[in-house]
Amino acid sequence: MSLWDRLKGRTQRADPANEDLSQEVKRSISESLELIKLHVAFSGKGVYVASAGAEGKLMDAARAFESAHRSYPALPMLHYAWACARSCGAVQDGENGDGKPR
Amino acid sequence: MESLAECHPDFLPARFALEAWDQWESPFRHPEWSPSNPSALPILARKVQTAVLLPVRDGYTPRAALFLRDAAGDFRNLQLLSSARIDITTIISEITSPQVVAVNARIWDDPSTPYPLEALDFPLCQRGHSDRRKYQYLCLQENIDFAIIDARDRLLLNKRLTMPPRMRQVNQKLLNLLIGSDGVDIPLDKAAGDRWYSMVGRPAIKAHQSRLQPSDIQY
Repeated sequence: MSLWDRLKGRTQRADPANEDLSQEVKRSISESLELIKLHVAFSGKGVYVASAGAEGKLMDAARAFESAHRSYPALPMLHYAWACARSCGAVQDGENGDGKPR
Repeated sequence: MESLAECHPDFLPARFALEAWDQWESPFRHPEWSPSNPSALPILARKVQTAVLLPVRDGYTPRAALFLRDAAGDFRNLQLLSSARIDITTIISEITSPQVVAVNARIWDDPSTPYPLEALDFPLCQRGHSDRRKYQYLCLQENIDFAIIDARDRLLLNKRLTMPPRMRQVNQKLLNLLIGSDGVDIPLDKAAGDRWYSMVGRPAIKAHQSRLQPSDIQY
């Protein structure tokens, strides 16, 4: 039994990678990850987040994770991914404050 | 994150995020890393001087990955390297002030002289610190990605290792410490952090290394 399983019990697996997510949800998650890849840039100097804010592309990615979470509310990792995507997309780098929604 | 923690109070990543929200960083700000990465990312490569555990993400899962810089060109036969047995474990040091923790590994590319490596940290520092966070990731993983890059940032090895039972047991102990212990404050300011390292951190590491030789480590 994995650490996750011991912590969560088998009914609440944290990582849904092997769960039976619907094809639609899998595709939506995959598209969200591509959006994030396009708008979170890494260089030797650091991380730069673009297209943040309520109307930004990263919030589209966050909304897709939200939808996935609504479809599978028993999987906390999808809820976590939603919260993480929202936080990442809240404020563009270079703006004041972290603006992280709690 | 708060509603997640309310719905799933035992879900540790949410608890860890909320306990130090001001310092918390979205895993989507970590570079993506998995065994399918064909080359070393510059943001990772610049942080790899010797052996180091770094926070990364695979898809939307935050993880810790182990990186080694082969600056001296010790690994010449990449075919042997790719098929070599690799032992890996976590060590919670007897040096507890500050608590030293190491990820040790041994690469059996040469059966007569395995290559030892050691990544040392102080994960029981203030909550939210990046050193603490990467061990929180590590302790919730079942496997760990291990990559070796050469002096010119070329990727020599990139593979996912299953954590052996001993490492999982130690990680479970470490997880309990990470949940329960506030640990020591490591100054975040660079100058003060450097002073702390030379006066507190480095002596602790030296004390750990004098007590535990690589050959004494049990995998």
